[in-house]
Amino acid sequence: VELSDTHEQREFRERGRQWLAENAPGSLPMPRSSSDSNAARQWQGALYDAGWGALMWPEQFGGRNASLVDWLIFEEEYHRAGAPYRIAQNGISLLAPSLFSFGSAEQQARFLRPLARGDEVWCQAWSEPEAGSDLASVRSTASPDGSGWRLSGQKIWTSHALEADWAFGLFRTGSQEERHRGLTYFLVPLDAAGVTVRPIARLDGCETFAELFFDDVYVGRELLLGEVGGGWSVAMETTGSERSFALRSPGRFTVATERLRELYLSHNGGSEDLLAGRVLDVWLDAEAYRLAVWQTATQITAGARVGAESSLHKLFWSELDIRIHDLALELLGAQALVCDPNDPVSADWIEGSTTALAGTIWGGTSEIQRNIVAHRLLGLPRS
Amino acid sequence: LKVYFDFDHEQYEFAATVRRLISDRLRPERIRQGYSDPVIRLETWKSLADLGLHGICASTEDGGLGLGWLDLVLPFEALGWGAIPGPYVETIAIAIPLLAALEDQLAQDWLAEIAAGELVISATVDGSRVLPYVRDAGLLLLGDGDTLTVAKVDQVEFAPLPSVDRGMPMFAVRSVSPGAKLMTANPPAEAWRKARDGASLATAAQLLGAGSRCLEVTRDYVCQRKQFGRPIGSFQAVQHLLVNAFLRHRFAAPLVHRAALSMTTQSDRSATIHTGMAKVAAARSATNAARVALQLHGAMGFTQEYELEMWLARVRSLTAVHGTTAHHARELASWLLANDRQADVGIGAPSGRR
Repeated sequence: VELSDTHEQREFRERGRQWLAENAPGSLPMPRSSSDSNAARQWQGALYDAGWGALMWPEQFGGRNASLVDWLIFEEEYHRAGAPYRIAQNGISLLAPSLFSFGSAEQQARFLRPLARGDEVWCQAWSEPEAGSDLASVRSTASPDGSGWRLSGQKIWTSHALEADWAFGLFRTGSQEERHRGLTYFLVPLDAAGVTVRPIARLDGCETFAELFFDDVYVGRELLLGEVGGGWSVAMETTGSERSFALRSPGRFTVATERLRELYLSHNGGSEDLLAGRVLDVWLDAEAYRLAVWQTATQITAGARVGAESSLHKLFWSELDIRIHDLALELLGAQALVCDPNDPVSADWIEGSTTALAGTIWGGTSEIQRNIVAHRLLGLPRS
Repeated sequence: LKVYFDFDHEQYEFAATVRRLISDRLRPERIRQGYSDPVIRLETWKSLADLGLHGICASTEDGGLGLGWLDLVLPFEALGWGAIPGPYVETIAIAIPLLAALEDQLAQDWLAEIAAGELVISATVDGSRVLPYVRDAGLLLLGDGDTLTVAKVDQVEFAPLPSVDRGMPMFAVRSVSPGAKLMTANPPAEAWRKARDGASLATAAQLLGAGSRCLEVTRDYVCQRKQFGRPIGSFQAVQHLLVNAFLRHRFAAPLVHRAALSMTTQSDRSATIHTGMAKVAAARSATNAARVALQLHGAMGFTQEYELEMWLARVRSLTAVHGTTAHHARELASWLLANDRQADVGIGAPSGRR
């Protein structure tokens, strides 16, 4: 057991820290459409061109072939620096693992680089009005047409669809009864004829996600990822992948609890105050999460697969995130009522709080994650 | 790769050896017979000493293995997993560092006897005169401030107390006659810190083990117990309760393991902070695991006849000793919320390490 950087890792951390200090913009406006995402795309491009955009990728695709440990180190520095939202995150976490495992050489050459540079922004077209937690009941269809396919149907809760250029999603090529075996994975340009993107206002009124309508949209066969009928395995590649959200960067939460501590102290809280115990509790849990991620990373480095363990991680960080933000809002009191751009501290906590509330829903709700843990880790019988 | 947060093969192997001994020879029925049979208690103590458990932390000159907490933390988890009674924390975690700090032949002899499993010690480090396992001990270590008194148990006047955990019988030491005192000494502050931090950590590790046993037996029970024509473990309400307890257990473990690392590598306040974090997290997760175990066993778990009571009682007693959750949480809060504390979020420099 050893928990300190090697000489090389310390240098790597220093290089990352210095580059971020010199280059990271303090904040970026949340993009609401493809046209106002330019600043976010530029920042992503700068990250990628300097080799920080997709660290763990092979060098031929602009990565550094970095280890999981190096990625974790850079993530700690990224959040410590307070660097802004990364527009390629969705594509890097949710599509790229599938592209690496199932993409043809042509597909990898065509899509990976622009994805990580922010030149082409991706959104995930998985959920449907009748297929949320029960993803295998997807109804949108793909029918063969010449050498390509025709897509029809409706997708919903698509985050980042407004600023995205492409969507990756699951469409039914088999019968409804075949469930997950009848699904195929497609890559779809959002400017194709027949695609409609309709924004959905989040509960605070911000339009951050959307519905996607596909009305007989033609896609060529080069946009099919994996096998016909093999879409489920392509999609699941992201859920068990260490490159995806299985290991959400612990720096995100350790930095949030440090900021919470500062907020608490700036509200004149002492160690005997009523809320002190709760500040301590979330701080402890952020530490626990950080250490658990390092433990898992060590095991992955030694050759293990994350598998259902990722459900435990997601449950823990998503519920912790809500507790951190609830406590911040309690401390802010009336300041949490007004999203005042002149009060960036409050505005950050308010936005973070809304985002945190989505964390236990997206990417598999907490209830679904608990079912996965019950069946796959504890071996409990299915109901 | 130096950032490596896992135990090595030998460390896992030794813990597995301890577990094998427990599951082969120190099964619940035997442990419970031992509650009223001093011979069984002594045999239990000796069988673990024969594996080398007692001497792990003692130096090689004192007949030990010269290893440290990274080698002890998993075996202590195994002790909790087996609900093994006995003053292992007092003898191994407290007495060894205190005695090792004394330049005294008598102390060296005692260390050799501990490593050989021939000396049982009960100890207190906070001035209290209520101690566990006194009737089985040969020596008492009574710490008060920075003064350590070593007394022979057979010349000390003590009385048994009605204890909540039959596997952790408590005693009140009424008086220590001048003739009972074998030694009075002032070990250095560093030795006291090691003893206190080690006691918190060893207790946290046992809590982790006891909690994991609660979850294991409950998992097996809900798979086998049928109501409404199917195993109760197939009901989502039951599953999610168990998953929640498992989740808390999973995220308490790395805090305990990190504390073992800090005991080995850090001589400043970090080890105290990290062992305090470990005790708080382990006590809370084990208490939760015990509650869920009781709930899901229904009335079965509420009886003394059924063996689950051993772990339910042990979680209660371990939670109350070597720094309560309230004590550690207060210490941690006053450290965390001090105005001059520097934030430190990188693994490369674990919190508190400069």
